[in-house]
Amino acid sequence: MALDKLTGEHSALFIRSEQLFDVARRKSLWYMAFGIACCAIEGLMHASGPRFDFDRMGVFFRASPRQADVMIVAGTVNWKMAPTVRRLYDEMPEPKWVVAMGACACTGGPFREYPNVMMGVDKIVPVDVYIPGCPPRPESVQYGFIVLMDKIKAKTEERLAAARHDGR
Amino acid sequence: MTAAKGVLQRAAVAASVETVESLGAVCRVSAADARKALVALRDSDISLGFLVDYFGIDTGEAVDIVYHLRSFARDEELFVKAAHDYGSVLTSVWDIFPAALMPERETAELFGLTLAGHPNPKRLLTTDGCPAYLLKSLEVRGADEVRNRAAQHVDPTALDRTVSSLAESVAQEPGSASGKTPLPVAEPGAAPLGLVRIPSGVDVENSEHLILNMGPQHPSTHGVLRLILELDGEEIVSGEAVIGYLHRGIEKLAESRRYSAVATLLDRADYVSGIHSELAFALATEKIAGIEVPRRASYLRCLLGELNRIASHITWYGPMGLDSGAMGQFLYTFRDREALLDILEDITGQRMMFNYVRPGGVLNDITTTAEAKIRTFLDDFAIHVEENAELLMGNEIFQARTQGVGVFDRKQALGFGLTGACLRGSGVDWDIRRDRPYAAYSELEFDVPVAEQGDVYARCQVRLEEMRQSARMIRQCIDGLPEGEHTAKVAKVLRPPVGESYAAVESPRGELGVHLVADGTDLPYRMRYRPPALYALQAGEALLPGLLIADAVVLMGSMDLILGEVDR
Repeated sequence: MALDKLTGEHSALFIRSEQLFDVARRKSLWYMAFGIACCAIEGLMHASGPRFDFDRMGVFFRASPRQADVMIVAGTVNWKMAPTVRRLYDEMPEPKWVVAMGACACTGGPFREYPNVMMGVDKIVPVDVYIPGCPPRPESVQYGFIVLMDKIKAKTEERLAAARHDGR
Repeated sequence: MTAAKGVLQRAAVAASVETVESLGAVCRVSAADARKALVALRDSDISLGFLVDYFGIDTGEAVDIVYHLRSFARDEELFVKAAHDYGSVLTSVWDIFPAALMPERETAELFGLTLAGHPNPKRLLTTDGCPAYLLKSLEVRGADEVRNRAAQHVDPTALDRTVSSLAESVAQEPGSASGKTPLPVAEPGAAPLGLVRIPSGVDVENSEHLILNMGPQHPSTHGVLRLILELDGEEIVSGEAVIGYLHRGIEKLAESRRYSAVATLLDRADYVSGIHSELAFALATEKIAGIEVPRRASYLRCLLGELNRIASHITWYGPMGLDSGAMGQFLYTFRDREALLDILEDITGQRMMFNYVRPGGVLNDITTTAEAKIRTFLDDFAIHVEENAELLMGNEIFQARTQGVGVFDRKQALGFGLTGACLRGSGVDWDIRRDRPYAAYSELEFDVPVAEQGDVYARCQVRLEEMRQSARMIRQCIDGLPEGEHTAKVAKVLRPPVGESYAAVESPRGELGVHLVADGTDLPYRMRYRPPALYALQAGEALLPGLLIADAVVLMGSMDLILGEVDR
């Protein structure tokens, strides 16, 4: 039994490199300090502030897209902003994730009738997690990140299962 | 009013002056005479030398351009209106009032007018693909079609092209109408209120200047502000602020919302101090509809307004530390902001988007738990604010970086339309809460801090002192909260009579005004939001030449810009 724990498939000794990276990715989701509108105050400033303390989840802000894993689209994206959002996404190294925070980033929110506003940021970048709310509370953002962590884990397990199936 | 008429007669301008109920004196001139009238009004003995706001109203036949003038000396206001036909040429008045620089571009763009005589007549808020005249039609007609057209025009390389076209236009000879000429402030003597560029000591002959693009994603621009800087070494030769990355049509959408629902949009305009924008709109509506507000509601408005002011100043103070390299300050201030948001949530039900101040009063009465929370907060804050003052303002490095940097003298501050702490930091003693009291401010005791130096440090001092004064007012509101109803009896669907009004409040960023035109229906006909941060931004932009990059960051930080409000 004890030997199993040591040498089994998910043991510390024989952990696969994907699994190792997966743990590392999950536990250090660095987001890009890229606030667009109101949501930035709640999702970036308050969430990393003293009460909600994003750091304890390994989530920390980076000023450059080159060092970031996650882009939190926190606010309304309009057609003037759209090329920049896409460009910042392209500048981030793989693997990368996008969190659409708030009603505006999800659907256009209260401003969706205005022609200059884009109806959801998923028109230009692939979104992994949608966080509803106007603006969402910092707790919601943290829950969104937990969902994202689960998603990363599930993706790796899927990949591993596929590899086992191939007989590798 | 008669004085204005006399001045215009002497200047041989055909004008009709009348008093509009709930608005004040309105002077109507022809489009051709507008410049002449403005010069006469500015230079005459009634000295209407402060341009409060500049915007357009679509009347159905033409666009009324409104010049809102104020005289601080005589405490008078005058609205000058000039009707411009659709598609006509809008003659710039930036050399008379430098404050008109950005509002002019915005008005020309949103009403589809051509701007003439402007140093930088480019589009301000939207990209080239997006249609102009967004504000012109009375409904959001054919939104989908317009959206598709805009989508087709979005091009990922747009950013590169803008920068390269700027580089080209910089190389162009100044004075050509089409290209970008240096900002008026770069030419000494050109503008009566212009700034004089500091002579460059590091410029080597024929050395190439570098174009640096700061933003829209930049940690120090507080949102989606973009600064295009032309650098000679580390010194800024010329700079341009590009805005519009958060333009989401709040003024336009307000025309399709009922009076009780407009506050939802206004909360999101100045998202750090929602109560103030709501209050300005509620006051403007009440002026037209003639609603009497209960005393308790006025006190609650003051109470929430001051709580929100502290929350807003804190959101500026912490990041101001971040900008100048002090990380710790941010964490200390956000400790207080959390306590404040708890209180605001307790009373209004939301942390940021309150929708609390309604025409006629406020949404609900103060809760029993909130009062105790406020008292605890005030006791803590009295200690914390002194800590904060020591920590950042008392820091020698911070002082060295801010004292003598970004100086506006009195004349420049007034010329660029600065209001609020920026104006008081330049030695102009003007606070709407004291000089044009609204809500219950006439019954509260407070001091208006004024600093003379006009630099970044002076603005910081003023805001810090404002926080202490706000705490003082909150205590008075809590202790002297009168009994009674929290709202007047107002119809569920409010239909104010035909009319026009202007109401201004002292928001944390300055004079936040709402100019409202009602047409008797349940929807506003036109809602103009005077954004104090836009005027602060253009003043900051004008000050860029001659500064170092690091100073530009501190300067822009000290203007307390909220881009949601700048772009609307």
